Amino acid sequence: MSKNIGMQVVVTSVKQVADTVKCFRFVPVDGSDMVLPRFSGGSHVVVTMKGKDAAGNTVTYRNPYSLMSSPDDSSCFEISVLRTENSRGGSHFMHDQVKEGDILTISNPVNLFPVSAGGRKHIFIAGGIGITPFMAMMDALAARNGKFELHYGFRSRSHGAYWRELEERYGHSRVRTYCQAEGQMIDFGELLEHQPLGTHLYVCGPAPMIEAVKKSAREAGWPDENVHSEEFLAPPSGQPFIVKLKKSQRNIMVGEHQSILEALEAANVDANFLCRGGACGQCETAVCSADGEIEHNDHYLSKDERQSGKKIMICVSRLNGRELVLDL
Amino acid sequence: MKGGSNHAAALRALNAADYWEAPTIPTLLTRLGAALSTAHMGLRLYVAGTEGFIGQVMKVGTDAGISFLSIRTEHRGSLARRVSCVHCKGITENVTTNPATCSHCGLTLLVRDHYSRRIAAFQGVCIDAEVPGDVPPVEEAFR
Repeated sequence: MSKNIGMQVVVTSVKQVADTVKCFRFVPVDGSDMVLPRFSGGSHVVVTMKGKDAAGNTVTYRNPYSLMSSPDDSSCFEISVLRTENSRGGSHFMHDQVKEGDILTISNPVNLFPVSAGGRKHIFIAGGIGITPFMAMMDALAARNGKFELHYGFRSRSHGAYWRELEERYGHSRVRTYCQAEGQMIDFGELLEHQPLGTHLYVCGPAPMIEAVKKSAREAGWPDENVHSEEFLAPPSGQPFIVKLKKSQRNIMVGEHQSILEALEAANVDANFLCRGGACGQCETAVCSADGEIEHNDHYLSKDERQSGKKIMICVSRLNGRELVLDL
Repeated sequence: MKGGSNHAAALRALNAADYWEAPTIPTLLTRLGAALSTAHMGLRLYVAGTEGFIGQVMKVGTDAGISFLSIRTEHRGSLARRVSCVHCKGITENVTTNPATCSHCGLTLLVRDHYSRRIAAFQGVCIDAEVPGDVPPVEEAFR
């Protein structure tokens, strides 16, 4: 919920762990009696950042990042951030502004990507920065002798984060790396063959990878219940439009690089959210009318719900048109 | 099994990877469990039959690691329940009435809609614990 934004933490270490990936460690603020909440592998936190846009105005960014530290270690949280080329500001802020000693605001951990408790074996497929949730999951599984294997693909040895540590810690029988620059590719079809009944599959990475894995799993006869994925989307840019709030009778402009949720927050409207990446469903909002096409960018609404035009996930979706009337 | 025997020839002619006519439900469940223990992902489980039969097959499936959500079921025949007595833990098969008598400890049980996938049975709780003998009329509830 929108209440879940306030926990202040200190950055105690910032490490460059790969070409474009930095690892940040957070602990409770000195002297506070705050204890970090426990989390389960696959959880993420939303980090609030106050940055500046190109015109020098203060902008608030809130991005979800998977917790990658050990769920059994309650002394700190660690996240890893990829510096994206077309950053809206969040990942550049983390990379360029955040230093050791800084205080950041993070949300409580939320898990939309848990390890399936009844699973007999767990296969993790990671692409690039998608490795992060699996680090916490593998740590928890290894601690209780859970059976797992990781298949981790990255662009080059210097681009891929943590692969060396993971190979050392879990061994080559459990950790396989695939370096694109060396011509190595994960053969999903082969991977899915001969897996024992009760195996669960988890994929986190770029959208085409997630789609390819899901397709291979369907073709191999795996039930959807055993295939899990997580992809946080950055809100895509688009043409500006007006959001009209029916109940509170307000008109709010949504800028080119802003999400509806961000525009509402900038106007001090308290809207519900949780993951801010189109995955959780918490920000589902009723649409009264739209004079253009709704661009549904989330992973949450069903095809039928999209076609009905009655619902929108305001964290990532927008209008290609002039005016969107919301039941807020 | 009863009612299915006249389909045996047609079923056998389908040349399934494994076709077996079980003499009893318990032997069928045992053999199914053994088959699933060496099975691979891609195998899907489909069950058709009575309420109690579906529940017991689903238990074998979930014990083998299959998510209950991915088991396809179709109900055919009786809705009689398997009832687990919360007092003696005994299971009474083919319960059609409510209340019902526990076939193990003899208590009169209220058959609740509370179902356990783990033991594939509905919960039965003593109906006259406070005033022994004060039992509502027995009605046929699960045909």
